[in-house]
Parts: sequence; C-alpha cells; structure tokens
Amino acid sequence: MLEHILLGLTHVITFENLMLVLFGTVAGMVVGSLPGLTATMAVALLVPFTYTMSPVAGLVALGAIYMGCIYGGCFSAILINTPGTPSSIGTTFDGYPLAKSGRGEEAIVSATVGSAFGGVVGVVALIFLSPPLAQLALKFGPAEYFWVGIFGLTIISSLAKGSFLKGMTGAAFGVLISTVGIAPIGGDVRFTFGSPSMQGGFNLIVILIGLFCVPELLSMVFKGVKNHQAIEYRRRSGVLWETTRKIFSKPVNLIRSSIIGTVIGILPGAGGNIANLVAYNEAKRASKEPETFGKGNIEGVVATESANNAVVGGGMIPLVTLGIPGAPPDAIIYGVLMMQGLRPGPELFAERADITYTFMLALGLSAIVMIPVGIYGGRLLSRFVGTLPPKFLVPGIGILTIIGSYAIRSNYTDVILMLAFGLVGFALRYLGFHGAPIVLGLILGPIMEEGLVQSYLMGQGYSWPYTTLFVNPLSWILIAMSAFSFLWPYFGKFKGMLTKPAAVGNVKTNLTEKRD
Amino acid sequence: MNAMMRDLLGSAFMLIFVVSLWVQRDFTTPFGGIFPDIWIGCLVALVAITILLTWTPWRAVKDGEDDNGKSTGGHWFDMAVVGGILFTWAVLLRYVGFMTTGIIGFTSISWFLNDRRNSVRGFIESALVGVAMVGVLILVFEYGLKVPLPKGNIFN
Repeated sequence: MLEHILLGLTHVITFENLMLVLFGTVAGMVVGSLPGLTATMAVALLVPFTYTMSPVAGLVALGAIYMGCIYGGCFSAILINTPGTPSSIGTTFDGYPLAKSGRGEEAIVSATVGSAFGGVVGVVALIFLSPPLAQLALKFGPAEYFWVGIFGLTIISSLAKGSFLKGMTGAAFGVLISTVGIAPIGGDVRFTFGSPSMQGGFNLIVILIGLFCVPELLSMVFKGVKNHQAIEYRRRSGVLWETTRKIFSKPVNLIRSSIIGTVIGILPGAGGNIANLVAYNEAKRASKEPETFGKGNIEGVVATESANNAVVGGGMIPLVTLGIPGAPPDAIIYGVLMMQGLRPGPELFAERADITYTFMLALGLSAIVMIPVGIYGGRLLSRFVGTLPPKFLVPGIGILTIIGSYAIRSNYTDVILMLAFGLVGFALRYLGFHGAPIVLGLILGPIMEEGLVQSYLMGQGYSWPYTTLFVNPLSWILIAMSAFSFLWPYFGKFKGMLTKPAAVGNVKTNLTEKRD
Repeated sequence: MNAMMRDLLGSAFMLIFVVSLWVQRDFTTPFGGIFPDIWIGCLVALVAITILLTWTPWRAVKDGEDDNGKSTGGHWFDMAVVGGILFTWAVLLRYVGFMTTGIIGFTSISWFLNDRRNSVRGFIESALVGVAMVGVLILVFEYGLKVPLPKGNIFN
C-alpha cells in the first residue's frame, strides 16, 4: 500500500493537479456558500468542466469541488444564518450568534480548522480502510453483490428524510428506471417504447443533473427568490492562533465529531446533513457547559464542520470498495468514474491503484488547502455571499444544467431528458419522494440484476434456482444487515436522536428536505 | 395539498409508471424479465401498502410531518414560466445553437425574476449579464476545455 501512496503522492504534486485542487476547492467553496444550493447540485453543475480532462485530473477536480463545497456552506451559515448546504444546518446554531456578537472571524476560523481536520480524518480513514474492505469485496460472488444492493436500498430508505415506505418506493422506482435498455445478461432490449435511442438506457449523469439540479432551481423560484444580507467581519491579528489553540485544547470534540462524520459517511445514502446534526448533538451532550450551545459556542461550530467534511472521505469508502455511493454527491463521482471507463469497486484498487490513490490524496490536499483559502479569502467570499442576486443565480444554474447534459455525448435528447427528469423529480419531491433513494436504486439496479441473474443461473441444479442466494455465510450476514436496516425506522429512538437537534437552532430557511 | 392527497397522487404516478413498463413486456430470453418482474411486483406491493395505509392512522406521511406540506403557498405561476422557458430553450438548442438560445434564455429568466421587470433598465441589466455569461462559457468550454457547444442547424 505504501508504494501506491507514494505513487499517488507523486501524481498529486504536479503543477496541473495542484492547480486543479486549488481551483476546485475555491469553485466548490463559492458554489457551496450560496444559500440553497446543495453539494450534490454543486458537483453536478461543475461536472461539465471535467469532461475533457484525463480521468485523474477530472477526479482530482471533482473531489476538490466536493470538499470545498461542503466547507463553503459554513460562510452563509455563519454570516447570514442560512446554511449554504444542508450539511451546515448545525453551523447556524452557534456560528450566527458568534457573528452577531462581533466574533465572526472566530467562527470562520473554527469552521475552517474543524473542516480541514474532519476532511483529513475522513481521507485517512478512506486510505487505510478501503484496501482491506476491497480485499473483502473480492470474496463477494453474485449472491453477495445482490444482497449488498438490497442492504444499500434498505439503509438509504431508513435514513432518507420522510417516510420509510416512500423511501423504498422511490428506490424501487430508481431500480426499474435502471432496467430500461439492454439487459446485462441475455441482451434483451427492454422498456424502450420502440425508440432506438433508449436502447443504451438513460445516462446516469443526465438523470443526476435532472434530479438534483432542476428541482432545486424550480424550488428556488417556487419559494420566491430573495437577497440575503451578510454580516461583515473584520480580520483581527491574533484571532487565528488564539482560536486554533482554543480548539486544540479540547481535541476530544474535534476527534469525536470527525469519527461520527466518517462513520455516517460510510452508511450508504447518509450524508453531511445527518452527520452535522448528530455531531452537534453529541458535542452538546458531552460538554460541561451545554447551556452555552446555541448562544455562540465555538465547540458547536467545530463539531458540525468537522463532521460534515469527514463525510467526504467516509462516503468514498463504499464507493471505491463496493461501487455503492456513500452520499448523493458520491453518486455523481460514480457517474464520472463510469464515464471515464473506470468501474467503481475492488477492481479500482487491483487495476487502477494509481488513479485511486491520487484521487484520495487529492481529497486530503484539498482539505488542507481550505485553511489558507478560507482564512485569507473568506472575507471576499462573505461579500459575494451577500451580493449575488438570485435573479442571476437561477438562469446561471439553468445554463450550466443545459451545458452539462448536452456535452456528455453532444446529444440534444439528453437535454430534454434531463429537464423531464427534473420536472418528475420536482413533482416527486412535492409528493414526498426524495432524490437520494431514487438515485441509489438507479445505481444499484444493474449490480443487483447481474447478481440475481447469475445466482439464478448457478442455481439451476437446485429444485429452487434462487437457493444460491442463501447458501453462503457472507450472504447471511448481508441479509441480517438488510433486515436490521429495514427494521431500523421502527426502533424510533435513533431516528429521534437524528431529528431532535434540528429543533435546537433557529434556522431561517427550510432546507432540511434537501440531501447533500 | 394534504398528506393523504400527496400519498394518493404519488401512488397513482407509480402505478402509471408500472403499467407503462408492464405493457412493454416482450422478453425474448428467459433472463431478461427475471429482475424487472420482481421489482414491478415490489413496486406494486409498496403502492398497495401506501394506499391501504392512507385510510389508517399509520399512513406514510401525516399532515405537517413532511416539509413539502409547507410549500402550498408557493409561486406556481413563476415556476411554470421558468420551467416553460427552460423547455423552450432546450428544444431550440438544436436549431438555434447555444449562443443565441443561451442569451435569450438567460435574459428572459433573469428579466422575469427581476424586481424591476417593467423597467427598461432591468431588461438591459439582465441582457448584459446574459451576454457576458454566455460569452464566458463559450470561451471556457469551446476554447479552454475544447468541449464543442451546439452551433444550431439553421446556421449550418
């Protein structure tokens, strides 16, 4: 592994990749700081800029955009009490009171140090946990892949916002969309309505742009666009070191929140929006001064920001080892990997370790780059947050969604399909179905189909051909995990813990229905 | 719209989707239909449970539980206009190309959302930003990233 890390390091430390990390982080921060835009949307909007890049460069840029975007959400959370992304909802609870009392720089520094630390912890977990998990995944046969898919669907339906039943229905809808086109085994042409252009199925990136960008855009118009007034903050000498010292004098909060973020990131479908609230709740519970939370305690800011950035690395673990996105933005990265001809899963480590380690190290570098960029460029960004009129934001998003969907294959039908999926996504969200389970169903559908049909073929010797799905001990473990996650919502207690902190703070906008 | 109505509408949408797939079942190999048939069954079962629960206290989402319930007082007209402009933009892209549709699409949405919709200054402001935005994107994609953007059939 060490040789791969060193090889990845030599690839990252090239002028081109360093510039990509820098520009990607800044671009992510800018989009992430705009209230109402999710990290998924940011990554989807900026994907077209990577189409013609090499696989390594494209992944480095997207990873940096994702990391920067999650961090950028703290600026609007702290300065205008509106989370830039849902991952920063918890940051408003203490960040805004700090900024209001003239301690805006302290809040920004806390968020920056917390984000960088959490980001690095997530990446360290990614680097050291992924190879053994990939080794384990190599032992998986078709039946295990089928059950991994079922586990992914049940867990995202449990963790997704709203009802479990609607989460499962959305996931089933996504799975069925994935069956359009040529069957992976047997080559049957299915559900194409007689149209040859649908034989290849739907392009994943087109659907992702449609499902995650267009509903957000329409929601912005639906809810009414308005300008925000940001609190100005001045840089004062000594605040940086003083705040950093204060944060590291209580390292337990930082470490605990980063671990929470990493673990939640590993769970398929659970993103920074859940991690930041759980970490905030835990920080408050463990604090000797819980009454100061919600009134301007930097521990609250550190907890939420370290947890949400740790999700970035944590969420990549199931993606690079099993091909299951940990969080919705990872689904976009999954789509880009597929577009570049790289199949996410254990093969990434076996065949393209150079690309995999370069990508992972670039994520870590992006977390470190956030410190100088955030602290020295933060004031500029804070002015931008308050001044960009939504009347330009909405058509700006529109133009990027159109370019993004067209440029994948230079296909006009993709643009229409993207908008159609966007409208369906908006309608479904209005009816209580959210995008994350649909997308996971879409990604896991082909994996599950291959697993099921291959198991069926292998089971021809049995009286019931599906018996092979149940004979391996690894399958039993996955079935037990699926059953547990299926029953999870009914335990209630854990869900209560996740939703309770949302009531703690005074969040201006209702962003909780969005998932990163 | 209350939660019961949303559950019913969502169920109706899923049923229409399932029926549209079911009528196209003409698998030529024994393996093509195994997986979709299972999931069509699952989706029908999930919809049936949702509909059954709609008339019970355990229905999927209760009134006020879902954030979407709060969005009843939104700007439906504005959203329809913006959605319409986007669709027209996408359809015309093939014929008129990115530059023209981009400028017109950007300007019209921006002007429509402008507080000073009735003023000439508001229109000029939107148009200037639209031209600048499209120009920058053409420079970045066509010349920087070498990603070809549509020129439009009528100009070829």
